[in-house]
Amino acid sequence: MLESLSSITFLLMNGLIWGLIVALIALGLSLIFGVMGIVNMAHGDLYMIGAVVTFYVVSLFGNFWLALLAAPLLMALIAAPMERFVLRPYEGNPSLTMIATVGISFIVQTAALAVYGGIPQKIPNPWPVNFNLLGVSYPGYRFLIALISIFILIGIWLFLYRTNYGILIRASMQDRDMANAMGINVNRILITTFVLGAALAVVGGVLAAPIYQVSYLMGNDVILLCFIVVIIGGLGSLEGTLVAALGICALEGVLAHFLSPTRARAAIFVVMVIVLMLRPQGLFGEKER
Amino acid sequence: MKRSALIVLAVVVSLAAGLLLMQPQALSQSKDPIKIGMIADSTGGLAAYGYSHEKVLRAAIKKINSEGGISGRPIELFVEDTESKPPVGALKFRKLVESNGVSFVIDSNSSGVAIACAPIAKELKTPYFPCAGATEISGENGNRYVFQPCTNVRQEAKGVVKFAVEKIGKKWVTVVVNYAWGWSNEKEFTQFITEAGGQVLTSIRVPLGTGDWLPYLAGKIPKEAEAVYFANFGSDFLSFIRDLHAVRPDIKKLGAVYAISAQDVAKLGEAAEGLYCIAPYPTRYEGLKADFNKAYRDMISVDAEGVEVGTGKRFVLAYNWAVWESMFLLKAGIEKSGWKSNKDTPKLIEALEGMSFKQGIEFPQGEGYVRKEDHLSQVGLYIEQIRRGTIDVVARIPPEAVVYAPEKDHSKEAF
Repeated sequence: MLESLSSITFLLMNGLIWGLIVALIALGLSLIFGVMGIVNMAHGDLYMIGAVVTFYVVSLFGNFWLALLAAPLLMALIAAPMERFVLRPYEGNPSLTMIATVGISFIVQTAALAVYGGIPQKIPNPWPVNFNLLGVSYPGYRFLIALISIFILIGIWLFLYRTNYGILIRASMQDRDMANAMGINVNRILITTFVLGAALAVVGGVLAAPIYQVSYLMGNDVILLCFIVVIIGGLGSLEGTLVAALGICALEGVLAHFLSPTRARAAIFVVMVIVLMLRPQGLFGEKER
Repeated sequence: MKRSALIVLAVVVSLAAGLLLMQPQALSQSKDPIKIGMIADSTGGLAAYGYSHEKVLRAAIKKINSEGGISGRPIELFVEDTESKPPVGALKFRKLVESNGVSFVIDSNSSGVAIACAPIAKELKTPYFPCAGATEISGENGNRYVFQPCTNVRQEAKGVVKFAVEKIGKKWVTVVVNYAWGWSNEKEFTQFITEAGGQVLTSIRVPLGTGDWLPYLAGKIPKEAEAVYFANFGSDFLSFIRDLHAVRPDIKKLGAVYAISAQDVAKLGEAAEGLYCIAPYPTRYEGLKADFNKAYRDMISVDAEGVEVGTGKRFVLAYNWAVWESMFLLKAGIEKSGWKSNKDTPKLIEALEGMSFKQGIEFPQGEGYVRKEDHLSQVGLYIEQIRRGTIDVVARIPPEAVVYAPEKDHSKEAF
């Protein structure tokens, strides 16, 4: 009894920490959809870029934390033209943006295969300290990730809810035409939002790199989970995304104790179906958008 | 009179010119290239393997062509990408035969692709040499047109258990990726280790592409377990050894074929120290010191440590020797049977059934033979171990130790 209780607590903790990383990535996805109407199928590949950049930064400079700065900056250089020249004509038309971003996804993946190669690489643990978590020696780095993620999430929340620019972004999210009519430079908001969303995915990739290894296909798994999270949370709802990311990952962790972890993964889809049956707009979504 | 002589002359000259012009064509008739198709996993999950397989096949063909081809005919290679997906591989197989007119098809490292292509090989009457490890390829899914030139999971499990019980431990846990190749490993290892006097306490299956293995391992490995037999590779392997080390640092580890291929083991640190792995071909030159191995590695441009010359990247040294050997097996078969065109294919298949080969530059992996009944190559294995951050060969398993009774007799099937 005590053993299974400690096992559940362990899996719950582990799930929550992964949930925080997923929250970062999915928040970017949700923000981009909410403000711009872009269903970003390449979001998982932006996450992969974060991890690949981390690999190069660590091999060249030997410093992991440098990647946390370098990767989002590099992403900004890629994401801004991507929004302006590829996606701008299709914004607000989700099905067209899906096709455009699938194209981007192919290009990014194949470029990574050509440059980085098909062999997954390991990144040395940036903080090789282990804690004894309920009888399991638990890597301290994962706690650190959780902390960093919480800081970034708080930062994003402050930015969106406590700064003028954040208010402008949220205004464009609620009603783009009205925001435009009020004299807000919506085009600038669009670029900023896309870069911010992409940067969140990239930071997720940097943080996940030492846990999840670096491979050019690593985005494929994450993108699925992020879509589930965004759909359950309610399309375009930021708080919904956060709650759903933590909830889903924690639930998957706990279910892994009772079912096999493989079935726990499948169970998440069942949860999604049930949520969509009861609340088609998602947990925090509004009925009509 | 003069005029008619001129006409006669003109006719003679043009006939002669025509003959002269036709001559090289007539000569080249026998020098028509032999067309060979390759379905390589160039993109998708097995991209690193596809890359190495293609490079090795190109090197083999370069060697054969520079030495005058097969029976004086050069080889022309057509390559298609399977995207590491069975339906795509099957489609490309058909395309190679029907559009490019290839007479033989080599490769795919994916057992899924190989199993999808096997019935097409039979339908199109095209000999097929997949380099993938599922037991079914030469067993229930095989047929008279399919040859398995590499070792398969059953041979590998059978070959390794004696060493496993005597040198590693008796109480085992299996941890495999949750798809066909992993299941075969779990099933075959459990069966043979039990027959050898060992025991499997628990079997754990983990989805392909899992980054966090802790939930699968924490609290799931019994205290009395002495060793883990695992089947995973690439990023799965990296996460697995790290998380296993966190859960049970003392447990011994034995990897299925492939697990450590292309890994820079020095970077794996303590977690991988002492780990054993089945290897069909030694990673380092040190493991098989011979002139032919040196020559082979030179031709595929891989240095003594397993790093690709030019790129500085780790090269996947796994089943690609089987790609190389497929090409030379095919060459031997064509020469022995006198194959000229597709109508001679039955003769070629009969020539290959039971064919034996000696270790050397054409068959660097070792001596062996193509078993007549199920078309499975009977060759030996190596066992490697990570010691002080490098890979050493610690045992050689002879071909006779991997033999099991054939499941099927394809040689009785009609062409």
